[in-house]
Amino acid sequence: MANTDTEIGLRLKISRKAAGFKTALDFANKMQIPKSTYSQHETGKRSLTPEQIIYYATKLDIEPSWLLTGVGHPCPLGKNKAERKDEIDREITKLQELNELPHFKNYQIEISDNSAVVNMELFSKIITSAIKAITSKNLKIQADELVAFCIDAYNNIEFLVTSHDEKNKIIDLSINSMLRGNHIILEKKINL
Amino acid sequence: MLTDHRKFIPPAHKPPLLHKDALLMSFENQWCIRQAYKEIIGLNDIDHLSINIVSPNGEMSIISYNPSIVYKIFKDGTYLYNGTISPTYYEKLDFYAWDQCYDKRFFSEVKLSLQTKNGIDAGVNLIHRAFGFNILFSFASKRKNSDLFFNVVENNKEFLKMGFHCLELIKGIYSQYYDGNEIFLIKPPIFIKPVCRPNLTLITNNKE
Repeated sequence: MANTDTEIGLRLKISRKAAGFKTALDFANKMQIPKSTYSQHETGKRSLTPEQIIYYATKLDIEPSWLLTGVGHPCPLGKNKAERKDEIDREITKLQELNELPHFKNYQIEISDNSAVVNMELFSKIITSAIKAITSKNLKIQADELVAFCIDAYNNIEFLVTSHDEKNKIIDLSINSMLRGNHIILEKKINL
Repeated sequence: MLTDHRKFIPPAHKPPLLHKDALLMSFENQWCIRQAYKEIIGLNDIDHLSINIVSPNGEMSIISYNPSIVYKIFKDGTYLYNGTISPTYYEKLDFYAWDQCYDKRFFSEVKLSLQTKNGIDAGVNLIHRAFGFNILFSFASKRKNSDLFFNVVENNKEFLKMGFHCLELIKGIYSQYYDGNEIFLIKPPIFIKPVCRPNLTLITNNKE
């Protein structure tokens, strides 16, 4: 397993490529950093200072905490960023299989967290579907129970390696389970 | 992942025969499963419970607190090699730890998919057999250096009681996927055999 500087360097390299800079030289030129300094940051020969981590994270639009530790989401999530995140994830998986980067558990959110990085697109889809289902069927569910269920559904769906369509179908299954659990008979069963 | 990219490598133990809806049944009933299992989640280091019911015709249904675990191990194929749901183990043993059953050739891949990625530190299975059914109570803990294994060894009776309590609550879910009512006849056993205790040696101070 690589040391910390090498691991940070590998994440920096992955992010640089995902941001569209094919070579280290392209990025160094664009940022007006000496090429040798930047190369040493990528190879882990030179340690990054906290200021440099924040600088690179800002320029490459990634999370500084992820660049430093590898835990959590690599980049701020949102529309038009799914492709970049997928590319980063693919590269990380490759390096993990080669044992060059460590494996971390899937980052899950908890109701007791003070703060968390959340895929808001997915979370709001789950919450919206749940509220729609409740109002359409006139269900009475405790608010805290609903939030806890939505967080669980989010944690169960976020890290599934599958297509967006299948994820959407699984969201429907989870939300429908709430209706079934409250004795609402569904019109049709969803087939995947 | 578990092939050499040219041919399928047969698992070391007998693979389970899955119910056709096994992949998604936990998602389909997530709300009810949560309501049922949350009564024991948090007790005795338990962070995860899955009740896997093998019907007399050998089909396994999986009713899990974390449906994503089931989904992931089925999709990446590691369920074939993790052994924890293999008849080779559940038909012969009453109690075993998950990592005892992993196919040694793919130990790290299986552990990664089932435990590391899900933050699970330790997992154990307790088995009960009745009316031709095999019922696997799969408990797991996410706590570091969890005492789950020894807790189960010491208190298997309590863990089985908790398992049966949850089973009672999910029998209705299972009956949607199995034509027959025998599951409702299954009751907790009156006498529960203790799990074999580890062979402990008393160390005495030989100076005294």
